[in-house]
Amino acid sequence: MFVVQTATHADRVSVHDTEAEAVQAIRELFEAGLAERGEFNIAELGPDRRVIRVFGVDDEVAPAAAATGS
Amino acid sequence: MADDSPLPQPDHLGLPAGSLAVVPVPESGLTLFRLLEGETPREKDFEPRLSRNQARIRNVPELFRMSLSHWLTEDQALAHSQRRRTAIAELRVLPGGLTLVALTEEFDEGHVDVWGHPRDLLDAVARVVVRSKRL
Repeated sequence: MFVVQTATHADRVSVHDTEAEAVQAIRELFEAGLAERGEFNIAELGPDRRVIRVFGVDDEVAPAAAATGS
Repeated sequence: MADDSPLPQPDHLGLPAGSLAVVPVPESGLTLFRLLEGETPREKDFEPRLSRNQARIRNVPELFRMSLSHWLTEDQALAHSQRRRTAIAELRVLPGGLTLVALTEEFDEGHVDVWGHPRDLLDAVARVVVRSKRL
């Protein structure tokens, strides 16, 4: 399970079965102009409902912003 | 979640799958943990941050747009942080106020959605701990 969450407070945004779906969810926010770099990340949860890892995808979904540092 | 959960679970109430049991804070009070932006808790740490348009594009119901993620233990909260050093507030929420809570841990152990006035939640902060973790 992959949870899109706000990066600072980990407020839950949406839940996805796959990493690709979670990444796409953040990409859609960027493409709509509704996300800033560092605003969202992804928490992967295991079947025991515990966090496996938390990771950002800014460089993947907002490459132009990464290049300019904006 | 074990049966000693401080909050009701929808499936134990006979509610259909996907139901939400939003309840007042139990008479015994409730201890919750929330990630902070910095080591000094502020009202904005307890403000819902998702905009209406962000929620709309992500199919987030208005009810959840206004809720804040907390956890039942410090470790559960820490696990959701991507930071090397993380400030975590321990809240001791008392009954009788306007704050409402719902146990929403179907896939995230200890997750509690909280609806409350930011000032009330800030006032409920009993302590702040700073935890480090290897990234």
